[in-house]
Amino acid sequence: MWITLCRWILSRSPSSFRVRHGEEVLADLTRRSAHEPAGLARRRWQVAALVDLWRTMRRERRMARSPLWADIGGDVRYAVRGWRRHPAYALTVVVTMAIGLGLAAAIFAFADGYLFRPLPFPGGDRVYRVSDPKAQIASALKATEVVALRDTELRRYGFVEWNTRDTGELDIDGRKVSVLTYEVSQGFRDTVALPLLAGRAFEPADHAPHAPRVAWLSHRFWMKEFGGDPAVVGRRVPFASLETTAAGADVTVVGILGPAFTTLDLNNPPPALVQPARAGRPLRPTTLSFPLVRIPPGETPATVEARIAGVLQAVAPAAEGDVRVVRLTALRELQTRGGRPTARVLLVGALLVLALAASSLIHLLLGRSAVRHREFATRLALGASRWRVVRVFLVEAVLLGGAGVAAGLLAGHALSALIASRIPQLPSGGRSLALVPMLYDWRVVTAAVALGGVLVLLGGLWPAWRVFRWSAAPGRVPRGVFRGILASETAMATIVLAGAATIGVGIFQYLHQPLGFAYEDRVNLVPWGPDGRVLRGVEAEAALTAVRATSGVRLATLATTASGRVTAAPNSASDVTRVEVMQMPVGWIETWGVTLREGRAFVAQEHVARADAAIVTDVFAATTWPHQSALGQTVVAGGASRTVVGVIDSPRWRLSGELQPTVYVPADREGLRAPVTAWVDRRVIAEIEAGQASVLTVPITSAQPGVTVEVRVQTFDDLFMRDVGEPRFQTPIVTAFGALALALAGIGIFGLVSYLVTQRTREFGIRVAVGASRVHVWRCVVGEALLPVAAGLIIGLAVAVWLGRFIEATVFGAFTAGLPVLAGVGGVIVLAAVAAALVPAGRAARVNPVVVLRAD
Amino acid sequence: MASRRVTDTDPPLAGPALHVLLALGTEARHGYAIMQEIEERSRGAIRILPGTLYATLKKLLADGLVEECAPPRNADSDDSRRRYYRVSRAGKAAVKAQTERLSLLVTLGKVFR
Repeated sequence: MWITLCRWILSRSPSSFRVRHGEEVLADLTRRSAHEPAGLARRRWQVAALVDLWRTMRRERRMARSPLWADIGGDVRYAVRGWRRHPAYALTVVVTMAIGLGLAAAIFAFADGYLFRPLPFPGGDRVYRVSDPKAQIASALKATEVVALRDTELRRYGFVEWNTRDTGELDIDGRKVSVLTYEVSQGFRDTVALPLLAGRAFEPADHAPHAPRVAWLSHRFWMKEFGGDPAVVGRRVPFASLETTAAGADVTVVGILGPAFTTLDLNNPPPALVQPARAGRPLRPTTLSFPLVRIPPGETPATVEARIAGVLQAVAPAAEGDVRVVRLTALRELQTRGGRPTARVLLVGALLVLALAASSLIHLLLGRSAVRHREFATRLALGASRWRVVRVFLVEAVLLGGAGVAAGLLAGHALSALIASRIPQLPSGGRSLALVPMLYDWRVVTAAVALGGVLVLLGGLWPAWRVFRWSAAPGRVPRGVFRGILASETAMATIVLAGAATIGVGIFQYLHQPLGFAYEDRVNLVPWGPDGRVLRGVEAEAALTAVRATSGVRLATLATTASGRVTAAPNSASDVTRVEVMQMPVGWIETWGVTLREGRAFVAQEHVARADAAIVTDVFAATTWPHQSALGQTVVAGGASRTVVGVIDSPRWRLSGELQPTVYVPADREGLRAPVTAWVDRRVIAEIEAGQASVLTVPITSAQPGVTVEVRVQTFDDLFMRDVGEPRFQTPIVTAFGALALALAGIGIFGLVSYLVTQRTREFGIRVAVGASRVHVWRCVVGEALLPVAAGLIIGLAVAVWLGRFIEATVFGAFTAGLPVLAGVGGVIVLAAVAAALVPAGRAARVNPVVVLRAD
Repeated sequence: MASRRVTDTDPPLAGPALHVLLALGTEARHGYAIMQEIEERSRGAIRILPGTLYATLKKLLADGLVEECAPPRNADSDDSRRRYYRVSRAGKAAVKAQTERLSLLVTLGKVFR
């Protein structure tokens, strides 16, 4: 039985061994086994011989594949055994790489769309948006002009539109899901070939006035609400909106948009549904349009601009003495310019953090090589070639690097999902981060693997090179190299921390600007009439009266309304003709807590009698009458000459942008408009938040049956929802950058100083032996570390100041961090460096000279 | 401390390989005799099993440190059918280099005394 097993094992060995030595092996096994005493001793010997034969067979099979790979397999097993003995070291390397690479991969996934990736449809670089730079509002064309352009030979350019349409509710398996829908004009995909993951394009019949409703789902909505089920194509889903209520309609899903596309609208959140625009809908003269065109090859934007302007001049001429002008803006430019500054800054920050991680990795491997110098010396002494010893090191570096890259890819995937979930859907300060989706695709994975490969090479090659140059004694890191590494690490950490602090302080100042009004304990009430329009005039006044009479309401007012522009202001120092005039309802200043700087508010009689009084903002007063008091001055607005009776602080209704000069006039009854803003007691706020909004809505609805009222407690985020998204998105990312940079720099400094202490242990032992105090040794270590840290700090701060102007493009408002922030960053870096050097310094100070010198 | 730098022309010898070469010495032996010689010299402290022995012989043959030869004149008839091995010139040089390395190792090991 035993010999049969031996034969079987031999049969599995490579023929190069089996043919040559098989018979000898079997003969010797039989002969030698017979020499052992019968019984347990023989059995033991036979088992040992069987195991030995099995291992020999396995080794021969490995060798038969390739001797080199067999050796490398041995190096791999050796490396794994080493990590089992020192798991903290391997874990630290993998975690360091995972952090650096994961963050870099996630940020690259964000930045790729804004900086490198082309538009996700063919020919995207030839698609342009048409605008009129001389237009009154938003540089937009009128919708009627676009229709006229489509009726000319210029229709070949497309002139397609992507517009918001409606909000509504989808009924998905009993769940009511609120959705925003957009619509596209006929032939949209001929001009802008939006990627469709499944389904079909809209057909001309889909645009007919009474055609069955069809829609594309956005990729994000499809994944979130339908779990990515491809069977949703063709499904009919109940859909209720203002538009469909009367018609009552399901909507049939006919397509799913690809993941690389979200929206083309800078000013509104991305859609959940996209529907075909209905043909034949009447257009108002004031309806605006931003059509998209595709320029054929061989034509240039300039020639197309001239053609379109020429046709517009013919169909809708400009005022006498002027000509129509048209501008084409590349679609890619529109999609990416808002997010590009943020993408650049975040990408640079992530790469710096990655460089810090690489630096820490080099220190860890360097330290490890120093600890193993005796092992390497022994191997060399036993006859291993230098390449053989270096190969052990490289195999370990590649394995650790591979594990680190894999961990980094996983961490990057998780981080990018987290970042993507926090991207604000509304624009902030005129910039939208929702236009370009984050994709963790093959581009990101390739970039991460390439970066990881570079990390591994850097992390493994230099220590391996140092091992290669050893004789039997370990070499030291030259002091200049040591200082250079420490200084460069400190510089990188300083740049990242200074950038993070600058952005953080800028965001803080942006979010805490003086607003010029109070919003706490204010409630917004929007009464909708039966016809779906917000109440105006007498009805608005009636709603206001009802609210004022409610218990718990301190003050209430209606909204201001636009009332033309200032015509003239005698004695003015600036052009006032573009200044807006607003009608101010009764109690507006008091209800909103606006600060009255000079003069007085309007009295009730002035509202009733349409008195010729005016209140101006401080910005208007400062620019129009910079050296005089505004009180008593005259402004001409709406054909009437008005006397300024008060100056108020300019209320800031948007966090970004300059404060605009404004003139307020008393609102008469026709100028009254809801919503009603009420300043209420805290008790009322608590009741509303507990779901008892009827305390405020019932007085309105009982006075005016058929009216529905929306109630919103005014919060900072509600008021400034179009301003806070991106700053709040940036805050945790830059905080993470700063914290990681500090942590990695601390690890790096700790590792380097520890390595230095290890190298100089004998020297410290001798110093202590000849009488140096422990404090002296401590000062030696910390002082040697702090010098290059100081140099790196100065360099880092200088670079941070230079880079500051690029960072300012991402910081909202016109804030700069300035000296206090940079001084704070410097202090934090120095403290971190001292803390990191303390432990190895303490170890050096505790060196026992007897032990050190005896080891010689 | 070693003053001579080890090069690739003096390949290091793994444990079993050195024992096999030492057991062969200046004579030609077959595999079983090598096993017996090693056991006797070490008084049973070192036992090389057949699997390891022949794998080692295969490698030594491939490295040119051992060569096959004709059975000696005094071989038994049974033994004369077996393969005989002897140390080549390169093998002698390798053994010499290895013993020098081991003496260096002994020097390094003094730190533990």
